[in-house]
Amino acid sequence: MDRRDGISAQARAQGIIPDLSGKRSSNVKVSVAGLSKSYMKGSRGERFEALRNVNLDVYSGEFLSIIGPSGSGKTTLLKCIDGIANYQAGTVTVTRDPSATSLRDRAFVFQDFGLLPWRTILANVALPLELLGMHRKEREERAMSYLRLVGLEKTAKDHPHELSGGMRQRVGLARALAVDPDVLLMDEPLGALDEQTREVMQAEILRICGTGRTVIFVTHSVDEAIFVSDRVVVMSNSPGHIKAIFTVDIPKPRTQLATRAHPRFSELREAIWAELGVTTTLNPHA
Amino acid sequence: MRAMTTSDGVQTEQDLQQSGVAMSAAETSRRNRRFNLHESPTWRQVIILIVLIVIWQLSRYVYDLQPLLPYPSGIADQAWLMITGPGREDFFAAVSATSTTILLGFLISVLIGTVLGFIVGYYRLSRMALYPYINALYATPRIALLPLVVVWFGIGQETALAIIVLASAFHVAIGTAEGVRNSKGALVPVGKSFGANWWQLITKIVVPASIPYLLSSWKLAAGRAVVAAITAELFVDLGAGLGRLLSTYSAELELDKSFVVVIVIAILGFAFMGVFDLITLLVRRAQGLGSAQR
Ligand SMILES: Nc1ncnc2c1ncn2[C@@H]1O[C@H](COP(=O)(O)OP(=O)(O)OP(=O)(O)O)[C@@H](O)[C@H]1O
Ligand SMILES: [Mg+2]
Repeated sequence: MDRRDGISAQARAQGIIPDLSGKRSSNVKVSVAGLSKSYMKGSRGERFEALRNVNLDVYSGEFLSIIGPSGSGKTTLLKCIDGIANYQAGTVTVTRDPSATSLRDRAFVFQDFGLLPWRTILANVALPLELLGMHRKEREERAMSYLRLVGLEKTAKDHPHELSGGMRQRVGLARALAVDPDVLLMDEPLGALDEQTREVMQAEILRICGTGRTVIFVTHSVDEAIFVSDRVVVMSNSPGHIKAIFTVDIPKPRTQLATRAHPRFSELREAIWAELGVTTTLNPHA
Repeated sequence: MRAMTTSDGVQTEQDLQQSGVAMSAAETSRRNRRFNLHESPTWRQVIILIVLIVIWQLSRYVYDLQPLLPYPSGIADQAWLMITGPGREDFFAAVSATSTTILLGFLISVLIGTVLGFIVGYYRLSRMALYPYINALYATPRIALLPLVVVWFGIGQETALAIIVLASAFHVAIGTAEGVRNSKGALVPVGKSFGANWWQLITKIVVPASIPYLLSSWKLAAGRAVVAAITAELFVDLGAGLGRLLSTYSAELELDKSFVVVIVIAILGFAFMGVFDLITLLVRRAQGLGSAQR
């Protein structure tokens, strides 16, 4: 039982069973306990509370989505898990499997891409490998294979400003995948894409991320969250906290059409929208 | 109806083509300009300069202001004399003395300014502690400190160097701090996320990210260094120097010669700053940034 997950009464009432059993795998990969973070604002040392008492266990091999309004602390939570943001209270534990072959246990796909404008696309993807001290030839070959994975091998010699937003985001994804991380943290990786490309990329991400990898995926799209995830975490504002967690009990592998046609899809959709504080016009009970 | 639709369609297409042409023309002119040093010493401006010189020269036949106002022909004569005449060693000694002072002062400024700017830009605590003072000094007319500098450093090259450092090091410091801070916001977290250590963060992220800022602050500092060097030479007698030459000639009412010196100073400053435009261009190409605005 994971009592720390804040499950709203509404979610219970609608019969959406939150994940209480951890049936996917008993191995907790990432454990966030009692996490609180505030930012220093201004010069007078005022504090802005971005996260308050966040508790979350992410299981090994799980695909977990985080959804919530702008400013609800999704990026902040991801940064705390990645270890690039400090926090005032709580713990973040990432369990490393001793048999793992990954070069790093965590990797981040940044919301604003985070590409170095003076480096070629290939050199950008190779950056994490370079930081690990990998030799040039080896790291460029490896980077190239990940560029190929996201379908951008032709842009290897270009610079970031020559690519579209969607392409840059894929470069960011390739860079993170290059270290074959156990935990992939993705901050709105499909935000820069149009609807059609986005749907193709959702399936691509499921393929690219592969099986066995733990993924934490931030998105603004409810449909996207349901399609890709095993569980969906709903966050809320001021201060940022977890409002509800939904298990997406639709069998994988999924296809867009079959998933949308699945009876659970619309139920989950309704329930998540409700948690977000929006009642859809399609709601027949409204 | 159908005919109208067609002509409409055609027109739209034409419009599109035209705007396309206009866009590519703008693009071309932007590119051309990019390859010029300084804003635009195009042939048009050269012609305007020549016309102005001719008008200046001809105005003499309408109302002759000599010896209060020199004329281009006289200046040219004097320039020729100063470069080739018997006193030319003095002239070249002045040029080299001033150039050396400018260069040396500039290098010291860059050194001090870069270190200071880096510390202030990278470390939040030092920024809060030091930035107000740097900004205050930046806003103070530093020429007001000149008498104090003379008291502290006496009369010699150190004084000139101190004045140059006062005039230009702050520009370098502020430019560097801006560049470093800018990289800290967006790109340093990326490096940290992928496990970069301190040295890797500095060499692979902070420095390359700050280079455009560094270069533009150096260019600004170069211009300030020229002004400061001449100011110092005008104020205190440092022996040889273009400033000294200028004040001597002016005192002797040798306005033709004074003008030659002013022109030489202008060329010196122009060339010095031009070097940075060239370096900026080369660095941008090396960084593969081309014309992209950062
Ligand atoms: N570096 C910072 N300094 C101060 N406040 C910050 C900083 N980063 C984020 N915040 C604040 O913390 C809150 C949470 O920000 P965060 O970026 O985590 O939100 P988010 O859920 O990712 O939003 P979005 O969906 O818009 O990306 C916001 O109110 C934001 O203003
Ligand atoms: Mg965010």
